[in-house]
Amino acid sequence: MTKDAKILIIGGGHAGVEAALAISRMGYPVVLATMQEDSIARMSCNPAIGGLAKGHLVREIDALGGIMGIAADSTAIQFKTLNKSKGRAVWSPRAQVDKIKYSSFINNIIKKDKNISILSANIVDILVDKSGVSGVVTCSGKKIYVSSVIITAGTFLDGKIHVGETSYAAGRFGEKPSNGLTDSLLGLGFKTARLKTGTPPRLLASSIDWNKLITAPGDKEVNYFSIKTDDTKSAPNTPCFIAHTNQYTHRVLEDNLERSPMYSGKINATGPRYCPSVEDKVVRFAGRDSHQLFLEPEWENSKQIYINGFSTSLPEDVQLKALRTIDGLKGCELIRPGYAIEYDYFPTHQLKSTLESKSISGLFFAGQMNGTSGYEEAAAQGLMAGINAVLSTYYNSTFTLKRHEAYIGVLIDDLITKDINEPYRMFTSRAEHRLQLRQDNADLRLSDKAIKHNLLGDKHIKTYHRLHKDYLRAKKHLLETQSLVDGKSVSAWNLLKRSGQHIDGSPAKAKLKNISKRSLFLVESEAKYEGYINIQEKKIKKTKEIEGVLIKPSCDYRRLTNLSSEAMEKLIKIKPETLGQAMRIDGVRQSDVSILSFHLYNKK
Amino acid sequence: MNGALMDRCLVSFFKGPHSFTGEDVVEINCHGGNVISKKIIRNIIDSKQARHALPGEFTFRAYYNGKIDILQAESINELIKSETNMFTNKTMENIDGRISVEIGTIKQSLINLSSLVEYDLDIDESDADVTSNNEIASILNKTLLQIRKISSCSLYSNILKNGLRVVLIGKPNVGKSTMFNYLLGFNRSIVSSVAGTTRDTVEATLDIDGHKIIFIDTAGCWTSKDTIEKIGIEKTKKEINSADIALFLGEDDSDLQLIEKLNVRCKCIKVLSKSDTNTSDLYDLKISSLDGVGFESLLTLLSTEIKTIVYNKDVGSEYYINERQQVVLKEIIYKGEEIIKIIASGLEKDVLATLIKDLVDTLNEIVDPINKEDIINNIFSNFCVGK
Repeated sequence: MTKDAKILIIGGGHAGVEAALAISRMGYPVVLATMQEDSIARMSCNPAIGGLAKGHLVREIDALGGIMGIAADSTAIQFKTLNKSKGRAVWSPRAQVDKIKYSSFINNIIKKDKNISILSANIVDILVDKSGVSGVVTCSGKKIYVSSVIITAGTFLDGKIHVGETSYAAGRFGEKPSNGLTDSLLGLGFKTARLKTGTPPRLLASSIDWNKLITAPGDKEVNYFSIKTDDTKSAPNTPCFIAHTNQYTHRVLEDNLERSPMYSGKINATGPRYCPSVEDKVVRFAGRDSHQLFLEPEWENSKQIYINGFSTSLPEDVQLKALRTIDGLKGCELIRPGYAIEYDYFPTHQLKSTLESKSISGLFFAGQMNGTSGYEEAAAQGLMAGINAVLSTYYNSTFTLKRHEAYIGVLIDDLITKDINEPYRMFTSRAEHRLQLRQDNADLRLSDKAIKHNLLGDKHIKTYHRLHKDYLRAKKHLLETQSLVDGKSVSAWNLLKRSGQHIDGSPAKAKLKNISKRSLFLVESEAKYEGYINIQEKKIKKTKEIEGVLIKPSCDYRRLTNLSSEAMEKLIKIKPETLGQAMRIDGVRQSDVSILSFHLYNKK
Repeated sequence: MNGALMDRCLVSFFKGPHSFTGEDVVEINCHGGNVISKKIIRNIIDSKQARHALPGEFTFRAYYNGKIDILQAESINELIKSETNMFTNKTMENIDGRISVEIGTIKQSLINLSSLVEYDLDIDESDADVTSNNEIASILNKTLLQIRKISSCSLYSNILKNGLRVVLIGKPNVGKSTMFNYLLGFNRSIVSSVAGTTRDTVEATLDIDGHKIIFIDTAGCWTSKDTIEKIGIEKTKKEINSADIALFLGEDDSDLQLIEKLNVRCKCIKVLSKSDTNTSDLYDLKISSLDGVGFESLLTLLSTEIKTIVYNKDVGSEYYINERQQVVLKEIIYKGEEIIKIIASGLEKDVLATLIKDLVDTLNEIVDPINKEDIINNIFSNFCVGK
C-alpha cells in the first residue's frame, strides 16, 4: 500500500473509481477502500450507461478525463442516441453495456494504476482533529492516517433490502451493508435521512418467448461517448426487446399493493418519482392500460435478462404472477426478484460546491449517499470530489463548474442549494442554458479546464487539440464560402442555420474533406445554435455578477431582521457561499435577495 | 420639552408583520394645524430615535418585506400623483392587486406551457405522447390573446395618466383667450394654470367627467390675410400634432381654410366666435363670450368627444397599465408572435423550450425584476414624499 497517500476513498463504485483515477491522473497517490474488491465499478441496476441528460454527464466526465465514457464505449453491446426528434441540444447518447466487461475494464485499469492502492476493509470511523480530517478506522480497529477522505458509500450505509414482507440488511443484492460509518458521521454533527430506490427482477433468458416480443436494435450510425474512442470503428448492435404490461398485469399488482413494503408503510424513506416502481406507475397513471418494458441482456449472451420498467418491491410470488400475464413472458422464471433498498443519505446542504463538508475540512461526500440516483450522477460527483481533494490537500485551491458551463455544475449547485426530498436524477430541463450545454460540445466546454488541472493524458490532449483545430478550420471555411441564395449572397455558415440544412449539402463541403465526423457535427451544431446562444450569453453575463458576490460563512442572518422567516431559516441552515447560490434556495424570495445584497454591498 | 404638555394624541401601534410595511409601526394622530405636528416631529427627530422617511420609504419597505408586489408599489405612487377621479379609481384597483392577478394568471399559463415543452424533452420519446409544435403554437396564441387584452389598454392608460390634450387654434384676436378663460371659469375644478415661458402657449388642466383634460391656448398664427408667420405656426403645429382634440375658433367661412393649412389630423371641433355679430353655417356650433351663449353645448360636445376617444372600441379600457408595464407586455407579444412564426417554418423543440422560457423571464420583469436593482431603484426614486 502506498505509504505516502494523503487521500483515502471509501467505496469503489462509480463515484469512488472516478475519484481515484482523477487523483492518480493529477499525479498523487490514493487509497481506495472497498468492502469487496471484486465489486469495484459494479453496475448494481440497469446494464446501460447514459440516456436522457445522463448521456450529457458522461460526455462531460469524458471531457474532464474520466473513465466512464471510454469504459462504456469499450464494453457496449449496442448504442442508441435518444431524443433524436427534439433538437440536438437534448440528443442523449446511451449505451447498452456488458456489465461484467464494464467493471472488469475499469478494474484492470485501477489495478494497474501505480498511484492507487486498494484496501479491502470496511471503514467504520472517521478521525478528526482540530485542522479537520486526520484519518479513518477500519472495522478491525486499524487506523489509517490521511488528510482527506472522500466518502462514496452508495446505498451501503445501513442498507436494508425489502422484497415484499421480508427485509434484511444488505448494501445491494448479495453484499453486506456498511454499518458504523453513519454513527461516526452523526457523532461529527452531520445530519442524515433515509432514501429508497429499487431494481427490477432478473429473468432467465431461456424462459422467455422471444418471438412474441418486439425487437429494439441500436443505432447503425454510432455516437460514441469518448473522444478517445476511434469513431470510425464499427460498433456491436445486439438487440433489446420490448414487451407491454396489460390490464391483467395491472390487476395483479393492484390486488397485492398491501404486500408492497412501500404501501404497507414498512419503508418510510422517499423513492424516486422519476424512476417509479411498477406498482407506483399502476397507481399514479391509473388511466393507462399498458406500460412499456425493455428486456435487456445484462451481458453478451447473458442468461440473465434485466426488465427495464419493472422495478418493484412486491413479494416474489406476486412479481412472477404479474410478469406471467405479459405476452412473451407467460412461462418466465426469475433468476432473482426485484427489490427495494433503503439507505442513509446525507443532505447536501452540508457541503460546499467542492463537495467538501462545510464543517470538517478534508471530508468529501460524493455519489448516491448525497441523495442522487444513477451511475452517471455518482461518477460526476466522484470526479469533482477527487479533483478537489487533491487541490485542497496539495494546492489550497478549488475547481468548480458553473451552471452555464456544465451539467456537472448544475448537478452540484442543485444539490447544495435545493432541498432534495427524493433521489435526484439529472434532466436537461434542470439546466437554464441547455442550448450551450450540448453533448456534442462537451470537449470544447471543459477540456481546456481539464488540461489546466492536469486531468488529461497526452493522447487525450492531442485528440482534443485536433478536434479543436478541425472545428476552427471547418468554421473558417464555412464562413468564407459564399453562395447565392434567392439572389442574396449567404455564407455556408449562415446557410447551416436554416432548418433542414446540413454540412452534407453545404457548398463548403468539398473543403471539409479531411475533417473528422465529430468535428463536423460539432461545427454544424455551433452554427445552428449561434443566434440563440448569443441571446443566452447576455443572460449569463448578468448572472455572473451576482454569482461573484461571496458570502462569508460567518454572515449573521439573524441581524437581517427584514428577511422572511422562511428565508432566514433556510439561509442559516444552508449557509450559501455566494449570492447566486442564496438566490436559488427554495423559499428565498426576490425581496430576501435584495435585502441580502444590500447588506453585502454595504459591508464592502 | 421640559415635561410640558404638547398635545393629547391618539397613538396607534401596528405590530409587524401585520402592518403596512410588515414592520412594527407607530402612528401618531395629533390635533390639526401645522404647529403641533411640526413640534411633535421635531421632538421625535431631536431624540435621535427616529428620522424622516426617505422618498417612497414606507412603500419600499412594504415591498421589501413582501407585503406588496412591485405593481402595487408603483400603483401607490401613481395614486399619490393622481389628479383625477378616474385615475384614482384605476390605481386603487391596482393597489388592490387587480393587475397583479391578471399578470399572475398569464404567468401561470406561460409556466404551464413551458413545463409542457420541458416535459417532452425529458421523457423517453418511445414511451410518451409528445405535444406537437402546432398544439404549442395554439396554446401560446391563447395566452397572447390574454396579454393583448391587457396591452390594448395602453392608449387608454396613457390618456388616464397624461390626460387628453385639447388645443385652441385660430387667427389672433378671434377670441381664443376669452374662450380659454371662459372654459376655465365655467368649470370649477381647475387643477393648474401655467403660463408657458419658452413658448407662447398657455396650458390649463381641467377635470371633465373624471378625466384629465389639458387645454392649450396657442398664439394666433395668422398675421395677415395670406402670410403665415413661420415661427408661430411651427409651435402651433407641434401642439396640434400632440393634441387629441382641436378647438378651432373662426369668424367666417374663409377662416376654415386655416384648418387645412395647419394640417389638423385629430378630431377638430369648429366653433364660430362672436356669434352675436358673425354668421356662418359651416361651423359645429356658435358661441358668444358676451352673453355666454353656446358654452354649455361646447362642453357637452367636448365631453362626448372625450368619451369617444377614451372608450374607443378598438382599444381596451379595462385596466390601467403604466409605461414600464406596457413596454414589457409589448415585448412579450412581439416575442410570442415571432415564436409562432418560427414554429410555422420548422423549429426544433430544444430551441422552442428556450424561447418559451425566455417569455416567462420577460414577463417576470413586470412582477419580480430579479437582479434588476436599477428598475427597482427607478420605481422608488419616483416617489417624492416619504410615503
